[in-house]
Formats: sequence, structure tokens, C-alpha cells
Amino acid sequence: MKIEISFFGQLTDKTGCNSILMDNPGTITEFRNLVIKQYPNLSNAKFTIALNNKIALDNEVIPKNAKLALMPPFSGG
Amino acid sequence: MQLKNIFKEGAITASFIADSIAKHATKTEIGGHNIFLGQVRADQIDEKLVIAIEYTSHVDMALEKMHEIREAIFAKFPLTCMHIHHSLGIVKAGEICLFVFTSSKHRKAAIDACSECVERIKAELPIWGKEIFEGEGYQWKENN
Repeated sequence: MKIEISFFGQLTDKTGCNSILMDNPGTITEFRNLVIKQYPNLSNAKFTIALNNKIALDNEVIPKNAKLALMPPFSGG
Repeated sequence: MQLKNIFKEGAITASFIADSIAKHATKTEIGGHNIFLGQVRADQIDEKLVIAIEYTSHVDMALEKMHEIREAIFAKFPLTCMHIHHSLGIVKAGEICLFVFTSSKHRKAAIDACSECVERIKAELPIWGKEIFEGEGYQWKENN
């Protein structure tokens, strides 16, 4: 089962796309390593990861059908 | 649960704001309103002029977070009502991109709640602004 990954803000400049599908790597830490491996430009980018619309913790397990988002610092208003 | 949609495509117009104020005429328990309007600034960055900001958001997450902020602010301040509107897409310099409107029986709650709400929106909602330069090019906005 694939999980859906979305990129936001300036991260889309680094990945060249808004979203991808990926095999579930297990935890947020593993996901972070994997996504940086796939997009080396992200290695020096500042971002937080949201899991199903909530800020995720590093050791959190990624459930089935999860939606992940990579979010750079917010700049609304 | 039905979350309130705060997003609006494009700029928030003066007539929209005026209508919003007018709608409160029937709520005669209100003694004070406070309004914050965020306007797109034509910053000059290294000889380049910002002519617009293009806003994008992680919308579902932003609406959930806004709901949480709304609940916290209503729990903290004795408000009669609070309305929030944020633009998505292109907003030109000089146009309004954020409208926060709080009302209460007495002024202090409205003023303090409005201020806290604006700060929390800027810090906690997953929204991004892309500053579009005159001619060509852009840079991603940073909040401070």
C-alpha cells in the first residue's frame, strides 16, 4: 500500500513536484531519511513533517493510508 | 465535523469587510470590535519590487488548526464572535490578504483576542507566501 506525500512552499522548488507516492517506510525517521535520499536538495532545507494533518514525531509509526506532508516554515498573513 | 473555511481565492475586498461589519448591527450586545487587516507590501528586495504574493496552503491541516485556535481563543476571552478570512492565490501589493474580526461586550477582550489570533495564524497555520517580483522572478516569504 502506497502512502501519499505532499510538498509545500519552497520545497516544491527543490523536488520539482507537489506530490509523490511511496512505499510505507515504517516510521517518520525512516521516511525522512528516504525522502532526502530521493531528493538530495532537501538535505539542507528546513521542514517539519505532518502525518494526517498533525505535526509528526520522529519515532511515530506511519499507519496505512497515511498522508504525509513536508512543510517549510510557515509564512501566512 | 464541519470546519469553517477561512480561505478565499484572491484579495479580500473593502466591500466584503464593510458587509461583514454591517452584519453585526443586529448583535446589540456587542460594545467593541477589533479588526486586523493584513496588506501585501511592495517590498524592494535587491532592486526588485514585490508586486504580489501568491498564497498556497496545506488546506485541510490549516482548517483543523484554525478550529483548534478558535476554540482556544473562545475559551480564553469573553468574545461574542470572531471571523477570519485568509487569501489563497494571487494578492497584489496594496490589497488585503488577511482579515481578522473579533467582537465582545467590552473592548479589551476584542483587542487582545484579535492580536493573539493574528499571531497564532502567522505562526501556526500551514500557509506559504511566494513574493512575485516585477518583471520576473520570485522569492519565498519569511515571517518574522
